[in-house]
Amino acid sequence: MAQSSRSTLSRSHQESANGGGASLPAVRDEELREHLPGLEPERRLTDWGRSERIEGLLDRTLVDFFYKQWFRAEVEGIENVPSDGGALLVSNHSGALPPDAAMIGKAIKEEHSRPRPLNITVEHFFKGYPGFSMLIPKIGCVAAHPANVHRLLADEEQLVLVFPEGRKGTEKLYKDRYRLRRFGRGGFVEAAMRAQAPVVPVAVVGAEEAAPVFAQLSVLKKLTGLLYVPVTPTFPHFGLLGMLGYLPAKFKLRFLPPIRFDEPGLHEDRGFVQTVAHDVRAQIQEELLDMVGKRRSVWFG
Amino acid sequence: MKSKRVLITGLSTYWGGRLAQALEPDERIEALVAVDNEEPSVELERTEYVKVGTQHALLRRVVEAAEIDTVVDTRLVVDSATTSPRKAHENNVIGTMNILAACSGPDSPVQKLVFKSSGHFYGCEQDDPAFFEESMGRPHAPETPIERDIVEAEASLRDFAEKNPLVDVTVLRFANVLGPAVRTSHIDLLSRAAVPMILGSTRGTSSCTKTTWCTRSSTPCSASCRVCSTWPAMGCSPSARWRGC
Repeated sequence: MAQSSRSTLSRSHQESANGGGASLPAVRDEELREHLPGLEPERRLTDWGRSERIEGLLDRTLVDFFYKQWFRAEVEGIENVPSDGGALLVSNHSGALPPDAAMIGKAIKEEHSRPRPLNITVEHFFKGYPGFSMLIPKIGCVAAHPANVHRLLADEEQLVLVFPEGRKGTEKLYKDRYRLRRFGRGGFVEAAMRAQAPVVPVAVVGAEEAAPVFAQLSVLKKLTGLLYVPVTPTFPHFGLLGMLGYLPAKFKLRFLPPIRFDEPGLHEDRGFVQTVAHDVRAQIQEELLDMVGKRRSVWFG
Repeated sequence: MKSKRVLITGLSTYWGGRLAQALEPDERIEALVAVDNEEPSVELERTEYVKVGTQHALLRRVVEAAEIDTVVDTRLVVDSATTSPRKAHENNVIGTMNILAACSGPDSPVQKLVFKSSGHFYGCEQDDPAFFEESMGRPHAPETPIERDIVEAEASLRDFAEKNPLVDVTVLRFANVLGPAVRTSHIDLLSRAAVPMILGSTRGTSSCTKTTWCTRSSTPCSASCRVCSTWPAMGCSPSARWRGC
């Protein structure tokens, strides 16, 4: 739906540029940008608010350090991430301030033959929380709205990462590690089918031990208005920076073969959507158990 | 249908004046009539200015006398800082109703109606999508008086389109504009030495985000109506916030 309306728009632009003398000339984005008297003209932001500068800075410093030195990430099956077209990456989720999303993005940047930026879907909540609201879009996070996901997958043909467990995954305590929560209502499968984009399941091991959550403080949660206030080895007693106090667990990421939906209209079959969502969840769970079973040490892999 | 005899309502507004200027050199337009309560703010050569507000009986006489085939309504007010809610309601809702009344009827010569609406139609809440498209409609009930008015005005327009199926009705949902020739409360805010920035809010900051940069040289560029509010609470440094549509 969204795609068709966009294409008609661009078509009418072309027509007005070619024929119809009375019509007004179409103006392109780049031409308009020249008129912006920006303080920093070299600054580049995408339409989603993603900032090359800030994302690059974080990527070169913090993310690079965690990926290479701290978590010593090991990646399998990176070739399963398509090198063109939209694709929906689906992963398990955990940790107080989850490090898994950043590691998946970094893995694609480091290991893939054709690295592409990864769009991470997050709760709408972050748009309204002071501080987060400014940082989050700049590093490539997008609110988890079906229309946003569809636009990214179908119109812009980008990579999108979803955590169907959502909050239920990050709230989960250490004793429940590597046991997947319910996969939402299957919305992610529906989005992929509608956009006819493949789903790439991703299993991540290490995040649960890197940021173990021992308890949830409901009183502080109410006071701060945050989604949750977890107790981790370094939070809350070391303050907000304690959120980044990850333990040096060995990270293993496994990208599984893509599941393709090339037929249009599949998303209308609710039963099929639920079945596929269930299958994807089972597949990730199975891989997780396999990876955890083979692991000799939490810290050395 | 090719428009030959055009009536512009709201000549004193920015868009009304610009449109009249843009249409004047076009030879295919035989007659260019413009109405407003206030004098035009731009220099015009062949536009016939009639000092009429939105009284439908008078407007109807203008429409019939000049055999107008196309009406372009550019009156809509969206700046809540410069207009009182009552005045805005009078203009946006009652005015629209009157203009529609002047254009309707079986013997009306009007065949085409273009209505300038606003991206405010979509609203701006925390859980809205980053981009709106025409097919999406409005996910939440309107919160501000201006938004309520715009939704109401568009409803009466839809009603008009249904009752007059032979009239071609076009709605343009513009984004707010910035530019050297425009004066809005946004520009006043951004011209200050220090511009306040929003750290975050639980509700969408509705009026601050839907702005498109428009320049003198460029034509009305927001007709495709993509509301440019990616993240309502992203902060307001001009170079970051506003991009062309």
